[in-house]
Parts: sequence; structure tokens; C-alpha cells
Amino acid sequence: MKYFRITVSLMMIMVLSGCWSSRELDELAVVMGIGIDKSGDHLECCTQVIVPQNVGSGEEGGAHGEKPYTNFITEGKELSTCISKVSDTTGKYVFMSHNLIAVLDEDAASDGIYKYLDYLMRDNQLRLSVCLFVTDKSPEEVFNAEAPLFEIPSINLSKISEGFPESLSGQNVTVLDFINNMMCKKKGSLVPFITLVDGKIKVCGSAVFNGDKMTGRLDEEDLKGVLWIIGDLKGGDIVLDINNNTLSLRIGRIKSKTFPVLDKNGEIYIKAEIRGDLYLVSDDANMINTIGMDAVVEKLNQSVEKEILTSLSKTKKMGVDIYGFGDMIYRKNPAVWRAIENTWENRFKEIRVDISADFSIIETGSIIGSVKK
Amino acid sequence: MLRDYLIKKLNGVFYKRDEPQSQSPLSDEIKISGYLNTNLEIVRKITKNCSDVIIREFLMGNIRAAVIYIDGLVNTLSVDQTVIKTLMYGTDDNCEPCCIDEIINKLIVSGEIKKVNTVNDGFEGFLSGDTFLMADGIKEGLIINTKGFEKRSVDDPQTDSVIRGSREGFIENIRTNTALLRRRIKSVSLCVENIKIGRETKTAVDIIYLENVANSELISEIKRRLIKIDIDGILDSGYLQYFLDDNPKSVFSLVDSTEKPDIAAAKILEGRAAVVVDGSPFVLTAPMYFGESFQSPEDYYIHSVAATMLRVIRYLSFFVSILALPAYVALTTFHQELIPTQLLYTMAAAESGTPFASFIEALMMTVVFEILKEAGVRLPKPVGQAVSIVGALVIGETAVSAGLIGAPMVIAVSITAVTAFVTPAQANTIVLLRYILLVLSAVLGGFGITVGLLGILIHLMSLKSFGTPYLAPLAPLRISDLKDTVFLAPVRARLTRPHGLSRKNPIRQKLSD
Repeated sequence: MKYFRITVSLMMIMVLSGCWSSRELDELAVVMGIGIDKSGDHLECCTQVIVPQNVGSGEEGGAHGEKPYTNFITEGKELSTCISKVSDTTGKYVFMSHNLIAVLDEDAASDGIYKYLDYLMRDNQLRLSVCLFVTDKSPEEVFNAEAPLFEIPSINLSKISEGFPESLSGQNVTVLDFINNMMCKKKGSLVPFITLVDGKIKVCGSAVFNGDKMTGRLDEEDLKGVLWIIGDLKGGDIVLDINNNTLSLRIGRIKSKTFPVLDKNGEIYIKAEIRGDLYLVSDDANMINTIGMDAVVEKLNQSVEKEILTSLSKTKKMGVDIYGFGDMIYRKNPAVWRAIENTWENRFKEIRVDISADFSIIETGSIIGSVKK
Repeated sequence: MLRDYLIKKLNGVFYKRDEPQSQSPLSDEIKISGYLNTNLEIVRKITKNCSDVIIREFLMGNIRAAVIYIDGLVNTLSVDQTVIKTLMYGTDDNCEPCCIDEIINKLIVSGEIKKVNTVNDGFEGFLSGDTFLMADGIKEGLIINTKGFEKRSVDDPQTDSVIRGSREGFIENIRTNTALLRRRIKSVSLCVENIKIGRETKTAVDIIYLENVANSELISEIKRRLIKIDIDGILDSGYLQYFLDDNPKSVFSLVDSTEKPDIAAAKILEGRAAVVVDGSPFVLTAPMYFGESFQSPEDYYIHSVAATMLRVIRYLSFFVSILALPAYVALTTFHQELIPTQLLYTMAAAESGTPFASFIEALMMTVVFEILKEAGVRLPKPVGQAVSIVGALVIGETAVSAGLIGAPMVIAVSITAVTAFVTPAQANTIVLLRYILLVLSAVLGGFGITVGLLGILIHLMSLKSFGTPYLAPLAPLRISDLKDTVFLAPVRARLTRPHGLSRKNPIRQKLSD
């Protein structure tokens, strides 16, 4: 009888306690993206929530013409209160785990985003892999953008971000990356800057953050120069101009090494070595054969070095160490860093960077020369 | 405790063994007397209600004699020709009453013949299909083998089907079954020991093993457990399974059963013992390893790499079968963050609008499936198709389109159902484990599943089949026995028998140069 009682009580504990903290799928408002818009000291938050019924999946897809998402605009003092207000309208539990992106309005970014990052880090549902974007439009407009291939604009944005290493047009920055940059020694961050063209999302350069505040922008050309040094590049095309003929090359593999050199005379400079294998993808003027492979590679090296130097001089003027040179120096020699820490902003503007690019073209396609004579 | 209490409740006041019971008419030993009339009187009295008992009196020379047999159990031709005819025509008038040895030696043309001197033995003989002969003036009787009853022919078994391998299956006749085994193992060491179990049924049970391979402790333990049985009847080997189990309370079967002689022969060659029960085409083998549930005879007949792949699939199916549904319930109600984003909203779309919680849906669907399965097995074959149509269309399609159940749930249930059939030896256990895990997953989510799995693992580790750990050779780990687990080594590399199964003869194959 004793065992009988124990068994029955155990079963009662199991069954009567119910399904604590369980939630059915249809009780969730799954948030895919949050947009932060600041007007004055009021925070306006745009939350993109999936409407599963309208997610088209083949013939049984939802009502045609209905969007598979809705955007909720909520206001409040804090990001967290804005988001929890979504359930006032939807009646469903706001589920943040699948949030992919956070889009920041330019004004909000300029005022400092640490406040939001803190929430994004602390909330136990949110992931650190949330991608950050800055926009000059309002986040609401971004969330209403056309995303023909992805149904949901947030997913479109996160895919754009995932594709950055192969497109040479930006750098994927997650909350974790941003926080890591903030914890480095006087390092700035680059966050992709998006805008809308014809109702579609377009990436145009990067927002430059000093600490948690946005201080400027880099256009696409300048960004390219920066990415050669900091980027983790796996693809993308380079167009090379030789005597008014263009040829284009695709990045195969890039290895860039950047390190500080502490001279015996006390001078500090940075060395950046970029090595890479490229594929020739178009050469209609047959430059490879007319001026020779070595000459093309030489031109290529010069052009990339020039590109890097141009953007370097611009970023130096901005005074934001987006490359993390300061952190490299600190890691190499903490004592030296401590000595120059206070004057780093000025030193950065003047720092010498030696760049050497050394590419090789490993494939020229399956034709020997261009057909046109 | 709880078990004793339940047994007491379920069996009323008679649950104790030594309660009085009605005496069988043959409980006392009755000697065969010299007077045929007296003997036949006794037989007639006892069998007065048995219309199938035939008592035929005739003259053997000038001595009165009688044969007793059961119509239907004997080969009538054989009784007429080898017994009655030879005795009637082969004897002359001066036949002496004491000439029983002469009958055995000179007259009756039968391979199996036995002298008895009690009526009880005579009864036992003719009740199992032999002919019982008595004559006036002889204090002994003869049991002559004239068995010849209807039996099914040896054909393709329903379970353990293979593409490559023997198509023979055991049948209900014990002699045929032992012959099927003997035909595969033509060795004098192959022992076939007979025990009769069942007060009323007197069912023949044979323990078959290789004397020079199997451990003698195993055989004596099997015998000990079988002899202890005091029951009215054994109708199938399934009855014995409970008596042979080390832990009958466990949901896992600790004795393996098979319908194929080649499987049984393989197990005997490994050093296990087979128990053949008359009337059952399922032969028990013991001791059993858990891993045996994932073996198929085909594994040994095809390339070992292919066999290994199939084994992996079987193990995978086992886990999918017990885990798919609980995992689905746990994921959709507790751990939505673990579902890939795209999948999440597809699933949410399917689940939105369904009126029940995932757990209820899962429970409903599995129960419905079990009902369909049961109906499919029991229904007459022509009606069976109706069940499959109802199952596939009504339950599957319509439940989804009517918005009662989400489509992913139907997929999860189907996968669960199909994978359970990959390991038929554990099919019933799987269903039970699945329900337990399902409840745990609905109450505690992934934590519940983990707790459940750990519980199952601990239970499995505690099980022993005739002293051999159930999870051997994985726990306790024995590297040399891993050659026949998930990974199956080629025949040329399987040199030894499983550890401990054969202490006197562990080598199966000698390496040639």
C-alpha cells in the first residue's frame, strides 16, 4: 500500500502541477525584428510580428494579398516596455527568441545605443546574434519595405547581413560583435547603413560608431577600403581600370594580416598585409594577354592599396578607430598602450599605416583569351 | 507489496496455492490388471464423456485384446494396418498370454513402442495421439506411436521477413520444429530435453542447446524455472516468457522469441538455449541482449558494411520512434526558441486554428493510430483495406483539412508509427515508453524527456537475463563483443562467441592462413 500511495502521489504531482511555463505555438506573437525610433525623448518602437496564417506555403497558403507580418508601433520610455505593449494589442505572448534584427533610426543611433543594447543582452529570450542596422528612414518604413523573395522584410535584412562576406558591401554586425568592439580599447564600430530605394531595402555604406554613439558615415567606396583590412571576405567583385579598359576579378580567398610595429625609436606604426587569390571573371579587352599577367597583378595591387589608403585617410579624419589599431597595440604591449591611451585620438589621426597588397590571379576562366581580336 | 496486494484483490480468496481443488480422476496410480474387462471398465468410466475416444476390442488368436486411441489424433491407417491387422492375422490360436515381448519383437511394425504398467501411463500415451494396447491376461500395456494429426505446413513466417535468407518458419507442431533445428545443426551435441508442463494440457516443452557450447548453469536454471511452473495449461510460448523472465515486472522482454529456425539455430550456436513449446510457432531463446532486438538474420547474409548501415538505421528508428512525438510536443510548447525560424512559422501556421493543445493532439493521434493498427490486425483480410482507407484518408487528410490537427503533428505521429515497426521485438515496449515520455514532455518539456530517458537507461542497466547484463556488451563495455552490435564485423572477423555465453567453447572460428 505504501508503494501504491507513493505512485499515486507522484502521478498527482506530475499531472496536477500542470504544464508550468508551457505555451502553445498559437499563443505566441513571434517577433522577427524590432525597430527603434527616437523622437525627442520619446521612444517609438516598431515590432515586426509574423502572422503565420498568411505565410504562403504552396497551395494551402494563406489568404492572398494579406501580408504574412504586421508591424506594431508602440511608444514608451524604455525599449522593454515598448515591446511588452505589443501584447496589449495582439493578446498574445511576445516571443523574442526568433528576433533576427534590430533597426536603429539615425537619431537614436546618434544619441547612443547602449541603453538598447543592454536590454538586448539582458533579456533571456533575445539572442546575441541579433543583427544591427542603422537607417535614415524610419524603422517602420524599413519594416514595410518590399521583400519579394523573402515574404518578411526582417528575414530579407538578416539574409542581406549574412551575405556581406561575399558581397564586399558591408560587414555583419551582431549585438555580440558590437559589444565586443565596445569592450576593446577605444575601438569604433561599423554598422550597416540601410535606406530604401523604390520601396526596397538597399545597403549604402556603413554607420560609424564611436563607442555607442553614431558619429558619421562611410559611403560604399570608403567602406570597401576598410573592409580590406578588417573584413572577413569570401567573395565580391573588384573592378580594375587599366588604360580605360576595365577587367573584373572575383575574390576567392583573402588573408589579411594587420599588426602594429613598435619601432626602436619609439615610433608606432601599423602594417597591413593583404594576400589573396582571385579569379578573373571578365576581361573583354584581353588585358591579360596584351600587357601580361604580372602587369595586371601589379596594377591590381596598386589599385587596392590606393583604395585602402584613400579610405584610411578619410577614416583617420573622422578620428574613430574602426580598425581596432589601439586594441592591437594594447595586446602587443600593454605598457605602451597605457602611455599613449590618453592621446590616442590624435595619434590615430596621424598614425602611419604601411599597406602591402599581394594578389595572385589563380584562374582566368575556361577561355584562353578574349575572342574579339 | 503493491504487486501482492493486487494479486490478492484480483484473485479473491483462492489466490493461495494450497486451497483445496477438485481431484482429477487419474490422481491415483492404477495398475493394469490381468483382466481386460476390468481395465476397460476403468477406461470407459473415466472417458464416459469423451466421444472421440475409440475403444476397439478384437481377438489376438484366442486372446481378447483392445486398442484405445483418440479419433483425429492418430493416423487411422496406421492403427488399422500396423496394430489391429498384424495382431489379428499374425497370431495363431495358441498364443500365450505372456507373449507381450513377442508382440513387440515380432509383430508390431512401429518404430516407437513402449511398455507401460499403469493405466495412467496408458492414458498419457493415447491422449497425445498414440495407441494404447491391452490384452487379456497381460499385466502390461503397450503404447504404440501412431500419431498423425493435422498440421500446418512449413511456410514463410509472418514475422521476421527477409529478402535474403531462409523462408522456413516454425509451425505449431513441436516435432517439426525440433526437426527444423536438427536439420540445421546436425550434431550429436544438440540436446533436445523434454519437459511436460500444464496439469491439464500436458504441453510438451523442449529445451534445445548445444551441450558442448552452452553453459550448464544456464540449462539447469532454465529447467529449474520451467519445472517450478504449476499451472493448468500452457497454450503458447508466450506463457513461458513470463516464467523465464528474470524481471517480469519490466516492460522489456528478457527472453527473445523468433519464428524462424535459422535465427534460433544461430542463437543456439552462440551458446544460448532455445525453448520450443508444442502448439506455438514462436521459439524462445535465452539469455537475451537488448541489442538482439536490432538484429535481423539478413544482417549476417549480406555484406557487413551494408548490415552495419541497416543496424544504424534500426537504432535510429528506435530512438525516433520513442522520441519524435515527445520531442515535437516539448519543442512546440516549451522550447520554441530551438525551432529554426522558418520552420517555426510554418509550424505556427499549421497549428494556428487547431482547437487542442499539442499534447492532446499527439495523444489523440497516437491512440487513434493504435486503434487502427489493432483493428487492422484483427479484422478479416477483405475488410482490412477499408481500415487502411479510413486510416489514411479520414484520420490523416481530413483531420488536417478540417482544422482539428496540424499537419506537422500528423507527420510526427506517422514517423513515430512507422519507425516502431523497424524493431518488431520491441514494438510493444516502444509504444509504452512513448506514452510515458509524451506525458513527461507535456508536463516538464525537454527536462521531462531527459529525466524519462535517464530513467529508462537506469532501468535497462539494472536488467539481467539469466545473469547476463541486458545491455551487454555496451554496458558493461566489452570491446571484443562490439563486433556484433551497431557495428557488424565481417564473418571472417567474428571469431569468438559473445563473452560469457560459452565458457567451455568460446571459439567459433579458427583463423586459417
